[in-house]
Amino acid sequence: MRRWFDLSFRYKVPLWGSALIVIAALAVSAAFMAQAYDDLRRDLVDSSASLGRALARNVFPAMLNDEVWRAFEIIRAPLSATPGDSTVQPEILLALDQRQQVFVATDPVAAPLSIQMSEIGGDYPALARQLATAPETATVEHIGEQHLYVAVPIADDGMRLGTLVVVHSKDVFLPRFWSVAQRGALTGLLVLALLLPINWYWGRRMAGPLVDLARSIDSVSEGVPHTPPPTDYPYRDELGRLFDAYGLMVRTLQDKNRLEKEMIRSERLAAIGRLSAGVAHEINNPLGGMLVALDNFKRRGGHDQRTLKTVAMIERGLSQIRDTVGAMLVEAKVKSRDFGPQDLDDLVTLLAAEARKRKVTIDIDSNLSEEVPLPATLLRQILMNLLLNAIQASDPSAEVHCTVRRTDGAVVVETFNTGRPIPEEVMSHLFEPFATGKENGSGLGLWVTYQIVSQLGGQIVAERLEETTRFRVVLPAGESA
Amino acid sequence: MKNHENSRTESARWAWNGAVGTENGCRARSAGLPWRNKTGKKLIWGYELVTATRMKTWIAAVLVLLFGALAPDAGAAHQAPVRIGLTATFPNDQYRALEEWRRYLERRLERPVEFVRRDSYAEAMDLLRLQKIDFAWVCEYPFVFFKGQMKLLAIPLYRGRPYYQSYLIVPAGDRSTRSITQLEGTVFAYADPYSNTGYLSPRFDLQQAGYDPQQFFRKTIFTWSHRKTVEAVASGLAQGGAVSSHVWETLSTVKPELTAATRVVTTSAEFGFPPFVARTGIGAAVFDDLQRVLLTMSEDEDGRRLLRHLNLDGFMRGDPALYDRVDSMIRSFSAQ
Amino acid sequence: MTVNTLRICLVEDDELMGEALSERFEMEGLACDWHPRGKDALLALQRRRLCCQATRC
Repeated sequence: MRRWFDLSFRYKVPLWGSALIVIAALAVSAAFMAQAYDDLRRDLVDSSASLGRALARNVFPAMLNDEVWRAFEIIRAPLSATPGDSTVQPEILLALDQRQQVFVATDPVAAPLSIQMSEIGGDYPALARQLATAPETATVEHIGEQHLYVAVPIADDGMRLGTLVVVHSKDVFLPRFWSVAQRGALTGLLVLALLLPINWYWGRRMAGPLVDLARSIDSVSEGVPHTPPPTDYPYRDELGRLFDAYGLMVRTLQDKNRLEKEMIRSERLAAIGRLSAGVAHEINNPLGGMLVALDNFKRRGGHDQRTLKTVAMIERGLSQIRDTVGAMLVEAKVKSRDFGPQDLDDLVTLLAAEARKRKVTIDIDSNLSEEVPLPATLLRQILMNLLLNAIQASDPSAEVHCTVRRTDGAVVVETFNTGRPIPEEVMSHLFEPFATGKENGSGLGLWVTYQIVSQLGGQIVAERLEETTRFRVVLPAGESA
Repeated sequence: MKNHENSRTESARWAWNGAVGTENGCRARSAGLPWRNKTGKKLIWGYELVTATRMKTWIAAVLVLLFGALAPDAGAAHQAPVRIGLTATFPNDQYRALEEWRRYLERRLERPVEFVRRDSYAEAMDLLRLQKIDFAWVCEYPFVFFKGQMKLLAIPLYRGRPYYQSYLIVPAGDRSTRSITQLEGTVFAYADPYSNTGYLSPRFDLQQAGYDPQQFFRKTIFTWSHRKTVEAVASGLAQGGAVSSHVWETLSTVKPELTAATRVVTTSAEFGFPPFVARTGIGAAVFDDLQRVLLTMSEDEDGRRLLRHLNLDGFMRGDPALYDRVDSMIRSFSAQ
Repeated sequence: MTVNTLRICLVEDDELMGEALSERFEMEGLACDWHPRGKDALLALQRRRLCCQATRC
């Protein structure tokens, strides 16, 4: 049983609807048939009663004169209708005298003259009891097992001679009832044939979005916040509101997810920054000492060539270490002049050689008209790094585009380049040291850039748009000093 | 349409002539057929019969018109009609045959003839004694009973002889009854209290067997017609009945399914056939005319055809002595 | 001004660097007092007048 209730709405709604429609149709049909049965029976009783009254008027004088044969002819008349006559014929008629003895009956074999009606058997004893208690002038209706009895008084001018009983077999109106019932059933079937498909369609239409929604919620609980269900549900009913709420929830979840990721990444980058700065600092001091000591050693003189060569190798290695460490030691607090429009020109000049080598054109679009209160060194380094990356990632003969925009309280720098996109796995670690996708390169460029941006209190975001890779840097900048 | 209206008036006048002692309002329906003007007493259910009656009114009206137009002697048509009372001595629902017979008689007598039907012999006898009718075809019992109050006109010949019998019949399903004495305590159907074969004869038999006919049966009913006695027995309403052999035999040819539902148990001794009688004061000319017409009916083709319809062979002058048996039976009852 | 009176006061917390610089000053003929901690250097300066001081942090 439970399984039926666990069914998907996709089936449950149409099934329940169909069940209800069928039940309703059955109930209406049953009521209709009961009514039809009742009407037919009522009609039969009414026509019996009117027939009985008409006959009773004529039987009265015959009975008064003890004319059995005349009475027989009178009550027999309704039975002589030709076969195939659509009117319902009584099965038997009886004229009873005042003591409920058969005065005459249309079937004298079954109901011989002068016997007590109750002796005929069947339903007659019950009818006799009912007649005995009925009022003098009343029409009595009795429903037996197989027959329907209508008794009318044979009376004139207040004198009652007896009772005329009209007996109909119940069979006579069953065919009529069945024809009515068949018509009713046919109508019912037509209604079902019309309503069931409509219900099925409507049910599935109602259930479809719900099913999609349930599926989406399931995937959300599995940790995959999908976009809202693709169902186009334009109405503002509860379902529509549910979809809206769900969409809102999914978007909130997505935002939260992204924020969390962002936070984790920046935490990680900050931690790496602190670690590398600490390491660099700790390396830098002894490194300086070693370099001074090596210089002292060379200056002291009197060394043979082999020694000098070895010392030179050590010095070279130490210098390389110093460069690396120096790159990692981002010193944002250095005093520098403010960044001005001429710095952009310098950058173009500095990058010209590399650009030429890659046959890439650089297009810088700037709205800077005066200096901005940001350290020129650092901003130059940011732009340098980003543009170098862009040139190197760009397809040959393509164009690298850069915009610099001074807005209220911020400077927005964007670089665009076409060409090989940044792979997904690199993207998530893009600003970490040594996350380079390039064969040659320190792997520190973007990391340093990130560190500088962070230290300046700004944000850097890398995005892939169709064919283009975009880096966007937002640096807060108050009014020029 | 105008003619039709006229004919209705004519018919109505005829009806009045014969409508003595009718007490039922339904008479107007059958006004066109004077010999049917007592049908109101037998109320028949349904419209078909009403329509049929109307049809007959029409037919009668047309016939009257035709007759009036074709009558060779206009003077004859204006003579007082000969009125003949008919009773249940024969299966009297052969309306068409009766109408033809009436027209035949009119043609032969060269004067109008009216048939006046009565269900009971007593009524017919009353009309006769009151001189409302001139002739009547009645049972021999009233003829004998009212001896001297009517003249014997002619006696029909049935199977060539002026005799018939009383049949004791029971429902066909009754295979055991061999005699009327076995029907004690049953319902018995008589035709008419003035019928010989349908009343007097079976009662006489019972009396001879030592029973009291008044007490013998549980219930007796009068059907006022031999034919209806057959129906009563066939339907099982009565367990026994007495009928004229002439009627039963006639029915067995025209309505065999009805007589097949009955079984003839015993046949009585022969009685003189129900006679045509005339009222006492009847004019000799009319008496002779009608007697001659009846006696010679079998001599022309139309007459023979009509006789075949009536299941008769002809008429004879007859002798009241034919009815001596009835006379003795009546006396046997009176003696008690 | 004599060599004896002209001395460099070096404040350097890194041992390697301090030693290397002291050696270098000596090679250049400069007298040098190396103090790893600034507090010691201040005390020494109060005791003696120095012509210049070098610090590296």
